[in-house]
Amino acid sequence: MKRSRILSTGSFLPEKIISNEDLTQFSPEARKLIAEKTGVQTRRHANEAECTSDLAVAAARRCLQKIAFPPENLQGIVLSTSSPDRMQPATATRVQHVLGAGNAFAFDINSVCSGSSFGITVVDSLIQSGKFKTILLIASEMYSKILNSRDFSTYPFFGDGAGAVLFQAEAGCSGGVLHCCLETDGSKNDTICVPGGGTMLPFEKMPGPRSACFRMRGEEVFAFTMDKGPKIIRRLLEEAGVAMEEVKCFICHQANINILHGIAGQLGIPKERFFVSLDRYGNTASASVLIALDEAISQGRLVQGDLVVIATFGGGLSWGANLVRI
Amino acid sequence: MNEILEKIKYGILDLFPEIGKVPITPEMCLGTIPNYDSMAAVNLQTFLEENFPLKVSMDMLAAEMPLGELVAYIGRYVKNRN
Repeated sequence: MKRSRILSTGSFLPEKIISNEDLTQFSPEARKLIAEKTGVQTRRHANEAECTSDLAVAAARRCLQKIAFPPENLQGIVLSTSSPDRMQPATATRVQHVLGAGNAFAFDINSVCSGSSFGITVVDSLIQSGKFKTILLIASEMYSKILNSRDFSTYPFFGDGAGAVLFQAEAGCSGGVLHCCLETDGSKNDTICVPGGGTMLPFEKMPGPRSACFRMRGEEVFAFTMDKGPKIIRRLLEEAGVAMEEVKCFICHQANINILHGIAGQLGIPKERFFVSLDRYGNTASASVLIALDEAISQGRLVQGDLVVIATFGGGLSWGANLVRI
Repeated sequence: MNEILEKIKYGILDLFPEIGKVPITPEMCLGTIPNYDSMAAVNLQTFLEENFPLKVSMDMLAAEMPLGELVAYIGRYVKNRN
């Protein structure tokens, strides 16, 4: 049987570190709430001149350079982003060009913060189809440029960053993507959104520029993740016939430390088995789990043969989970 | 006082468009603003501190606070300052 095996991972975070105390547009009283409510201490912000594809290319280069993989040997690039360079064309097309991956197809997927679970599933399906051998999945986000800097319910919690994973078809191996679950509840498509700039509210009809900024109803999102997060992890492991104890590390979307601890508590798993990077990077939307995966491997927290659960939740509302053997 | 109320009304409509056509009156408690929570309170605090020369504590922005009381507090502050 052919499997989509992880050949390499990479990530890139912009250099500029923004601490909670740097967010002086909010009162000192409010700034103290940031860490308390979400666990975020610092986040990274890209420079004025950078765009989402720049972060994607940097993460992709790190991923490929680790194993000296020539970009021209890539057959495909799938880019998850909910903060694209432009409305069109796909951000992945600029990544393909700048990376020098002239033989690869390139397209975007947008499932907001759950984009990496959807991306892993799409890449795995393309490889399973037998038509492609080597595909690079990238998740890249630059929320600092789609947020209202005066909106306390969003601005302090997000950061910029990108992660990349190189998948290759391999026959007869026990590693790779073992199982995937995806779910969506479109009746809640207003809970997390950028209301303006699309066909529903074109730029010309927007009451003001803030309509093109990201919005979310935090309490609804919290309740949704606490409900769906544990359920999809249980479903994933049950369908794959894998016991919770066999999983070395749980990499969940890095939205909020209280959500991660809540999911761990509901599943009866020690919270130490949940990887955490949101304290340093904030919520990097769909990039968060690929950045965390790269860090977990780089730190030796995940080694060859280990089982990892990747679980994500985000706008749509959408949520997903992947079981992967490193 | 009316001027302060009008300015705050404008801010509430801008910050919380989901309030729709619900009338914004001095009797209205802040908690009746849809999805009003501690995050929303900080957004209102940021708006007030940017538009009036004062510091507003989070206690003043509790869900039970009637808008009229907030307006009166700002009015007293502005009057004393002048």
